[in-house]
Amino acid sequence: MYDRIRPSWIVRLALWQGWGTTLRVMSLIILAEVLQGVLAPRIAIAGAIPNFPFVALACIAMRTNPTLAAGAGFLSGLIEASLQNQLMGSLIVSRVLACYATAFLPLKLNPRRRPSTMLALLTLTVLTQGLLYLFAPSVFGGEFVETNLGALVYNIGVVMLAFDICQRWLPLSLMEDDRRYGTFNL
Amino acid sequence: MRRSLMMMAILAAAGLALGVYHNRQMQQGQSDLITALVRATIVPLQAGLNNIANAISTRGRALIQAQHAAREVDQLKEENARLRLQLSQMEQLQHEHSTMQSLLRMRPTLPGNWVGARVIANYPQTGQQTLIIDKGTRDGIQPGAPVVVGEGLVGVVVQADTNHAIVRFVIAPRVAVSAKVLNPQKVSTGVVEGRGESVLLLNFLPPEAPVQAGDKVVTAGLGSKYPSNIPIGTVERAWIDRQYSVKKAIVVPAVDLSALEIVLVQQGR
Repeated sequence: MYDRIRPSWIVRLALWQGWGTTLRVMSLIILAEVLQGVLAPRIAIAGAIPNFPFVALACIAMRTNPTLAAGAGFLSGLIEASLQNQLMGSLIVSRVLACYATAFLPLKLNPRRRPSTMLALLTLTVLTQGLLYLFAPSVFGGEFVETNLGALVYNIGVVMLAFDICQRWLPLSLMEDDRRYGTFNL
Repeated sequence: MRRSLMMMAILAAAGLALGVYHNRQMQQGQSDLITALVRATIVPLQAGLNNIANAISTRGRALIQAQHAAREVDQLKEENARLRLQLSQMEQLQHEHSTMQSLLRMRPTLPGNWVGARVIANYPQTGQQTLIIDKGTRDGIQPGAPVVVGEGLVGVVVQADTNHAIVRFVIAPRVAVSAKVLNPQKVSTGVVEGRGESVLLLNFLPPEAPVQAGDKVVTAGLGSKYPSNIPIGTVERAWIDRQYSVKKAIVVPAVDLSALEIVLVQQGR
């Protein structure tokens, strides 16, 4: 009796209810990237420099869906590669893949718990750095492990603090609404 | 799931394409439009944040340095106070040492037994002019015993208790000492009297006695109360009292009676 009318893609894009969440995610990534260049070197401890984008990506991966997490990884990789003017493809691809994979963790872990985010950070770091090591190795073997291990320990400390900020900035209720109403499904 | 996988694949492919584009642009020596755009967005934010961080860091460092400086100042003040105290103690010891030296020099010239005593209290003010020493009858000190220091005569013991004694200064009223004026022409004898002032009156000198300012006055030793030749002071001025036909003189004491610490007291008087 009634034909189901599907609007064109541009109308669907304009009416998409996920814009708010996307903007929040983007702003979080931009903030993390800005802080990474300015603040991170100042608060290095024994040569270990925190990686704010990883912390932000781990929080995003635990609180959004795989598509948005992969998008966040793309943006993060793009900004970082642009600022360093190198490794454009490697940084983007490694982060997209790692974020996408990490975003499946909430199926097994409770994103409301702090240790879950710490585990997500660990997974994300191992995947991202592992993929980057495969695509574009800059340092080798022991030095690679040593460099990343210090940063990983530092990041775990940072994520414990950042967890509360992420909880306010990206509340899970928002994501649940998004999931329920399919706002991320273009 | 399939849709999100497809999205991820698209993003990864876009990343690779961007990477290839970026590398090609770099090889050709041309700027990459996308990275330039990203930099144009992010770098000003970083510059602003960097300025803020620098300002905070500078102020923080200044604050920490100020705290360090304040702590250092406190430490230096403490050290300064400690050093001042040490210096003061050293000066005190030096003064005591010189006093002891002068007493030791004088000791062999004095007849009889003498004992050193520390001044407990000193009242040099007019009307009081006494001091209390830490030796008494237990140490053989009796009333009437002369008290001296290296510079000269201090006074006489007027009261002796077991462990301490009261000494009246030579300048105090009702204290009289037989004295001689050591004038180069002739030595004259008289009596030095305390008047409760800071100077002494030298009385009963013969009218023809050659006395002039600057002459030394010492104990004469008459009456055996005071040993002879202990310095009393120096003549300031002299005149003839025509009423009693005697010569009188004003004598400035040889001892600074306000700064006494250790004295010698004759025992067994």
